[in-house]
Amino acid sequence: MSDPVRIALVAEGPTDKIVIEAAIRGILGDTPFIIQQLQPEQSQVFLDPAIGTGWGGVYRWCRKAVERASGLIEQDILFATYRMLILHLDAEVAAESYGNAGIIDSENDLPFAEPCPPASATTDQLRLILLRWIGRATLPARTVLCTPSKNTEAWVLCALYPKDGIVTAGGVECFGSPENRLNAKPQDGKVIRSGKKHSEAYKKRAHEISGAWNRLRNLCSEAERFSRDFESFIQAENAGQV
Amino acid sequence: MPQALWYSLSAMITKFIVESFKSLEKAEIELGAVNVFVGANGSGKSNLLEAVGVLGAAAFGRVDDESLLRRGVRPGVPTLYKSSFPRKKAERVPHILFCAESPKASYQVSLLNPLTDPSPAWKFKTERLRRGDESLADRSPFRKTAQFLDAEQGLTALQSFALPRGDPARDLLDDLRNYSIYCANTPTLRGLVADPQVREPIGLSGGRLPQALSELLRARYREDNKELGEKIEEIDPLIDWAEDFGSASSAMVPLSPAAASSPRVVRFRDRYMAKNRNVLTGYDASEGALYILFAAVCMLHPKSSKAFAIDNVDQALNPRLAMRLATLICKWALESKSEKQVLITCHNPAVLDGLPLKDDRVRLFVVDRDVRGHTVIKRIQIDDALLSKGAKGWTLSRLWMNGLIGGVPDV
Repeated sequence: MSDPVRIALVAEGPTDKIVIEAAIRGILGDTPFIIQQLQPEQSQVFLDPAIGTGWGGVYRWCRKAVERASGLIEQDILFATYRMLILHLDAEVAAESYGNAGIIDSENDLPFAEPCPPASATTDQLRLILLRWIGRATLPARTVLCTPSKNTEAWVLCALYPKDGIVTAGGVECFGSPENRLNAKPQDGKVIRSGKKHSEAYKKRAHEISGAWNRLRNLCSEAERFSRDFESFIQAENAGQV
Repeated sequence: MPQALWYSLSAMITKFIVESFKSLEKAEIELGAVNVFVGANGSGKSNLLEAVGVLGAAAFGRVDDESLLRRGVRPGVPTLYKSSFPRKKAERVPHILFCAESPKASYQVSLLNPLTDPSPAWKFKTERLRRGDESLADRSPFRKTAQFLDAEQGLTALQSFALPRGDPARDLLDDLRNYSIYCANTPTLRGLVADPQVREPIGLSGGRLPQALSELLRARYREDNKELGEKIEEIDPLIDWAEDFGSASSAMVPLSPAAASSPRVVRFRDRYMAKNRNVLTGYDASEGALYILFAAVCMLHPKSSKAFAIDNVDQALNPRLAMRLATLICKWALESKSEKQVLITCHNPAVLDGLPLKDDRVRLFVVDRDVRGHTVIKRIQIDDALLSKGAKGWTLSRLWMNGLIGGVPDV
């Protein structure tokens, strides 16, 4: 029996992990895989409670990994266990400044603004920033980027509520706050309540996201890009090219 | 101060002093709402938890094996209870001493029991209950009335009987009387063996977990307890393999009759199994899930004590789980309407990373033994020097493992 694909994920939050895991199930079908969310080593006492984790956690993980791997992320120890690394960052991070996450970064590449549509105008630039965080100008081997626009809740909205006006009108990726749409849905099956994301509700409906993935690829260009990149990696690996 | 104002003040135990008890030759600590004690095995962490339990028994009025066991204190003969560090004759004290203070009250006792031919119950040598500067109960061998008092019966317990709830002295005594040391074990949590100290809501070894869990889950629907539901939801990610959990009659779930020693069992629904075959009980489930639920019941059950200890809160838990549980215990304690006060011991370094220690109500103590063998308890101060370590990428767990904050054995 072959070992399931082991995937390391660096994501902004726990519900992002649930959505990305559901997406991969949608892509891989019955192929088994293990997905593990990586976190930067940190103590609560040393964190600014106002800042939290989120995208700042992704940044901190990336910088630590570069340090750990002496600049060559593809040689990081994580690849001794995992076959692939997924780095997740929501497109809405483009509007953030490093200071918001308590980060001092010499490159002043955040915030920035690009017109939407197309979503890719923002995500293309954001992906370059994400690559810079891991010390690279181009995508290293065995790494896939996941940059939902404006955030993963856009994917959740498309999957769970295909008749939502924002979804049917197209352009869901440029809609500013899909989480508010989810928050306003009927009580039954709601994944966001009183502005709070409920992991258990996300988990209960994750199979719906997996089931809707092919439809979602047509609605969200970033879902399509993530799927393509992921599939390319799997194909290359199966062909022994990674 | 007018009496009405006393009633609105916190009655939390803010200071605890112990002398000549086991390895605690002399210790004084200032407590917060969540107090975490780390140290090498045998450093005296459990002795400290037990010292509070002995004072609780004294506040109850009797210090004997029964009242100590009830509080989770290992009963011991005087030769074991009294510190036996070598010292000069003039320095020897015949008694053991305990004192607890709250912002507006204090209670202190010294207890005696001869080393040779000890009696089953410890004798009260001195007792002092104070509300502010006012003495409410006072026992001393030098008082004329001393000869008429039953030395094995606490005077304070009798004299405090008429104190109303809300009186700071009464509240302090109640906190101490209801204090117990919880130390769960897997066979009891699984319902395989009876808990020797069972009580509502949960036994000291984890007995009655199914019933307590059922009560906790029901309590969230009470009008006056709306936040409880959200707190219970915070448990879910810690048992991520379970779709849900609760309790069920042992006759209604798949369980070997040989394992069914309790009418109710903890019930989980496995997220990954087929819907009609996904129920499993506490007997079959991961023991980590049971320890998580045990801690949640201690912290959240409406009938749980206001002040208590959990010895080895991190046992059987994955480090990430232990870290998250530590965060939740702090959150639940600090948000508690009844102003919970909890003393915790642990060995998993990850627990330290989960503590929001910038909040002064959460305190970390390192327990060591000095060259004489005396237990020394030191609070880790969250000062600029420590915070600068964080800025340089250190974590508290790594600082501990490197011995930089003490509390590790030389192995």
